[in-house]
Amino acid sequence: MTSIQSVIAGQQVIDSERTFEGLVQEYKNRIHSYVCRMTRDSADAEDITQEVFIRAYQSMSAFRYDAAVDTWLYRIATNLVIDRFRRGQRAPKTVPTETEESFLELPTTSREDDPHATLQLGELQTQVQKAIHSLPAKLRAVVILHDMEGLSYEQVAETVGCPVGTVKSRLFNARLLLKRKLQYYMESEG
Amino acid sequence: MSCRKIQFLIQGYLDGEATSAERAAVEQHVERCGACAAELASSRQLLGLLGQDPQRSVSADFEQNLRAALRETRPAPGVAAWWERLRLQLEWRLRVPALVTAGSLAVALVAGVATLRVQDLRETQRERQEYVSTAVERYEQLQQAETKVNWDAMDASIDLNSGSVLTE
Repeated sequence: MTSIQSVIAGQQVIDSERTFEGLVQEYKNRIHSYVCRMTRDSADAEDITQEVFIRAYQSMSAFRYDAAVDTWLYRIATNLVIDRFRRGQRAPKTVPTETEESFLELPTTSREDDPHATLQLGELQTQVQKAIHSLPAKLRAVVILHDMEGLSYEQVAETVGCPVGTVKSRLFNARLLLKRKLQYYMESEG
Repeated sequence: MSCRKIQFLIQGYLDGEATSAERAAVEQHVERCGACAAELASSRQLLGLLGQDPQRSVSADFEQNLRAALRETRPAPGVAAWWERLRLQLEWRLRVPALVTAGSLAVALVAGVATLRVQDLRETQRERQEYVSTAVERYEQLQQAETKVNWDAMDASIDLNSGSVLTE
């Protein structure tokens, strides 16, 4: 089977140690998870993931070596997800056009909303993903990158292109909303 | 410290970003504040839930599909490199005239300031010379006037025939 690297003329190399093929191997699942979380496992999540690596390959010559590779890939993925849904290629419910203020109007979960909810992990995970997806895109990206992908405040700031203080603020608001939305399940679990 | 402040600090506390002083403040506060203790517990629980979300894996043919897609986009790196070279050349070509312009402006500024300074000195010197000349001229006029007045007065107060001083 032809390796990715042999397909690429000129042996594209990220740095002396890491080849493009190694980059794909190392980050494909992380980036795919991020895209899935941002799009709530949309059908074209893998297409978007593939597009991330194509864009990365195309822009490797412009890659700034003072930036971390993972931050660079997450940034490409974030822009692609936002672009994809801004163009309306997917269901409107995933369009990240909400303002940060609008999240205050989101309803919280209650026993009346889901009287047959179970405490099984699968159901809980579904509710967590649903709650995350109900967040405005700006808050969703920050909470996913920090709390699920494990990036630091600084890395998140670099990825989404805003100051660290804004990241903290968005994270605070995102968690506040998630706690409100998952209150019933958290109390049940607790 | 207020509960509101503590609730902000709880975020840094759980994220490992709080200072030792902030950590101590949170820990002391939650010992005596049930609301903030509950807030800390629920935040910790939420992070636990988020951390349990399983990682997704790409399909088995992901890399094969990516290779196929990359074959179609093979010219892209060349194009990108071409654009990059062009960008660098343009940047350099724009940078040189900008430096020359900046240097010329700096030289012109220094020359202008120097010229104004020389003109100012010359003007001052000329004014000073004029002042001295005027003062000397005025002094001489006063001297002449004084001499003239004295002599005239003297002439008028002396009887030229007897040489005695006249009184009014």
